[in-house]
Amino acid sequence: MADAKNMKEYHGQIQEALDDKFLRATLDKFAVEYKANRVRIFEGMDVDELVHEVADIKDNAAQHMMELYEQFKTEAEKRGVHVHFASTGAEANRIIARIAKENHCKNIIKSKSMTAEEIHLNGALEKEGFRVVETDLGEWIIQLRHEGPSHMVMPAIHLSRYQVADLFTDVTHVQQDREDIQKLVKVARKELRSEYVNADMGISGANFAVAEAGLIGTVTNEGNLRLVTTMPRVHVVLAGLEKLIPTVADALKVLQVLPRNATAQAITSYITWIAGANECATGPDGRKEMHIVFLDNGRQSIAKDPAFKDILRCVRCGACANVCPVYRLIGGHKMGYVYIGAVGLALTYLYHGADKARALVQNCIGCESCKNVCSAGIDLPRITREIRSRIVKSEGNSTAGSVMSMVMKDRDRFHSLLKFIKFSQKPLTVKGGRFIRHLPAVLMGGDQSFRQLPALAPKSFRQLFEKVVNNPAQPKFRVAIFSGCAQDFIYPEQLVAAVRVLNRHGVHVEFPLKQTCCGLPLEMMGQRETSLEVSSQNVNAFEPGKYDAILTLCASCAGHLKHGYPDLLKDTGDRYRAGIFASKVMDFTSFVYNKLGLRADDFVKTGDKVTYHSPCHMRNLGVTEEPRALLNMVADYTPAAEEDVCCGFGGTFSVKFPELSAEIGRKKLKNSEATGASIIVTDCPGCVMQIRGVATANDSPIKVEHMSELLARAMK
Amino acid sequence: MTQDQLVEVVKAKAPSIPASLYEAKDFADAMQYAVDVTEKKRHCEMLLPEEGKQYGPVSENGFPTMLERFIAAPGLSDEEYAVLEEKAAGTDITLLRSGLRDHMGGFDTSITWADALVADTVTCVVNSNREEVRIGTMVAEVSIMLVRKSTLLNKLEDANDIMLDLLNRGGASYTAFITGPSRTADIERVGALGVHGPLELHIVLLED
Repeated sequence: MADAKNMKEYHGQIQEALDDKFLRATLDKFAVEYKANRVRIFEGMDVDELVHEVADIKDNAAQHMMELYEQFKTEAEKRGVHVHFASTGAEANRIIARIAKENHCKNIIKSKSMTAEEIHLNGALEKEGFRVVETDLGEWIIQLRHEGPSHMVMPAIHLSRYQVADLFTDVTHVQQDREDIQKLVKVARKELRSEYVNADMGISGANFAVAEAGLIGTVTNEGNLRLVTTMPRVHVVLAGLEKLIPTVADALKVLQVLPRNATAQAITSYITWIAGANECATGPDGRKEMHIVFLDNGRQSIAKDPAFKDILRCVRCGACANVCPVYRLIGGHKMGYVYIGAVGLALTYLYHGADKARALVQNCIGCESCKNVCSAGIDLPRITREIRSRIVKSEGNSTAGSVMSMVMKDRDRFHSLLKFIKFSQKPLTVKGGRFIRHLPAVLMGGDQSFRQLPALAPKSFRQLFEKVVNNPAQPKFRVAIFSGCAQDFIYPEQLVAAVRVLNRHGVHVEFPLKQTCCGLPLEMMGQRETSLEVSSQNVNAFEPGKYDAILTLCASCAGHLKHGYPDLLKDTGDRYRAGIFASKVMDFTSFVYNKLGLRADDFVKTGDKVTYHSPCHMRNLGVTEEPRALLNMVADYTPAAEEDVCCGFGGTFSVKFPELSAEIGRKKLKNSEATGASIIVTDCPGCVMQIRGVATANDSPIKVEHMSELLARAMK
Repeated sequence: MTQDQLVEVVKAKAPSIPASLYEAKDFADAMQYAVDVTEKKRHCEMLLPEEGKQYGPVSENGFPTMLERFIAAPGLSDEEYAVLEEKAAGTDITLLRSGLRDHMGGFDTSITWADALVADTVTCVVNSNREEVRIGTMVAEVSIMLVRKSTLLNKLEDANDIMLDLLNRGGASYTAFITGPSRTADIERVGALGVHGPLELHIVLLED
């Protein structure tokens, strides 16, 4: 449970996780296996279409939340169920304790419920004198250890068999086998059986609350829920309002995605559907005493907030943690308060408040893997950025944030500052002036020694452009370049190479000088106001109608210009312009391959052995085939393991969390080196900065190039 | 898909669930199968041992096993139950039809009807309104599901009609989709069967 109140405390907690060798090895293995298993289980299915359908179903349900609640209540009451409404977690806890008291219950058993975790139900019931036993194996283990879950689906993933064996030895007073997991599982089978028999109340969660039939649907593998809902005479269901869904058909649709995305299973062992107070031999009149408590805890207002409402689509599959490069390093206890993973960052803020979320919400690298894997297509990184900006708005700015905003607001001031740094950095440069020597951590906001940072180039691209451009008389295409800061001021050679390739193949190239930073770093720092200003400056710096495409060689800029701008500027006077602008934005590599149609004949194969790093934001644009096709044409390309995993840069993330950025970067380097390639090619200057920086700091001979540089070298 | 094609799908997919599949000649053959399975398995573990009671050899998990064998068949009609009684006659198997709450320590086998079987996922749709059916299908070490071939469905979404049918019979309703044994991967993500419920699931296909 990451509950750090400030960044210093949080860094301490992160370090603990990084030092946990078992956790690191487990999550590494899981990250790789999950992705492969997920591909296999969705084979032959139109996943995008399914995700859209799930999103529509859940959006529709959220919009009609209270109508569905009323319908559910009517239907459930017809079947003998008591339906309760709790505005807050505390109220839900009180209601459940009251039900237990009124029914003279003492022993309570539970099946897994994240909503119960959200409101700290166990603690509340124990305080009232009830004995509460979790029956899901993972939940039982962490309950015995007095911990919270570290994954929404596999709550004890952070523990080894040895830790579990020692725990079970303590609990049973019998020495348990420390190696054999099968036997350890049977310990739970035996120990929990008497709990089912002795309990007088069972508490479960719900994956679905189907309004048309007052029906609860639950998804489990262990089957403990069937015993929890059968043996005790009282059954209480706790469900968030977002679990309401109109029909059985809707639930069956969601079920096509949920288990596949959660655990790469076509279906779980048990899906249990309960409508009404069923037969129960020990209950009053041979019937179960059944209650359903619906929890609001902010859900109604979230449903009305356009920036946050999508979060209610979440079906708790946990996939956003499974693919997160940060979760992979530090696990759920450090990447969530109760809810875990990318959705956990947002839900912590929404359900548990800014205090718990302040540090946590910084810990998103912005790679968008979660968005691409989400069962319901939730744009989690956008929501995380929104939360950062709301925290800044309500609590005021950090020093770094204020300085950044002040500088970036005014393009002239920003560019003058860069010019000033360029001259004053000279005494600090090393390795032929291309890198800056390691600076004290205090200056950098953290230890940056894991990578060698680049120096600013002697001449920026905006200074070089007129000298290098050589536009054809009868162009096939007209394009404008959006440079982004990194290539304009640090790596202008990448753009110069691109201009050569483009001019050579009949493309007229322009470079509008009034462009500035795309604004993504500002967004990452919660600087919404300034981010809007630079976005507006940029869309007004280009005459999109003049160009066939606005090309960028920075994947991160491309993603932000194309997907971020229309959303950010939708309520401003620039919205139409932003739409046209965004529609013209294209990455250089796709343009070369798809529009210019360059093929092997246009190049002389270089003979270099290369591997590729696929920038996250390039994948998010849907560009995956083009770079590999080009690499195969111009060089000897060997794919690296986990080529599609983040390099660890994440812009300001790598400054905020150098310890995490370093680990991810080193892994990237190791996987690339293992191919035996002499060059890592990529499509983003941010990735170049990170990977080249890590390689240089580790004295690796491997070179890092932008695709444009390789293509320019291979040009006929 | 035709019924035969759906049967083929189930046959192909059952091993990976894992579920054992048996195509019975008739109902008597199905009951014989249940008796055979029960006789061949190791004696049931006693998960709620009582002091002073005599138990059999210790199981592979270190738990006492029962001296008797039990088959619980809570969902069979009188006629069907009579066939089972006939097949179990002369064996050491005790048959249970109700009162399963008194057998929470475990029994060997349960026999229950599934109302439908989704071929694509090998999922049994089981009307579990009766408490005895729920206990039977959870507490038995081996759960045997009887499925009429005419109830085979293709995909999970095709279960909508039967769900609505079961729901609309009035009053309370409890329906289970059961796909394989009780399973977990909560310790080191290693798969393990029988964490709370059945260690094995058998599907017996019957002609109508």
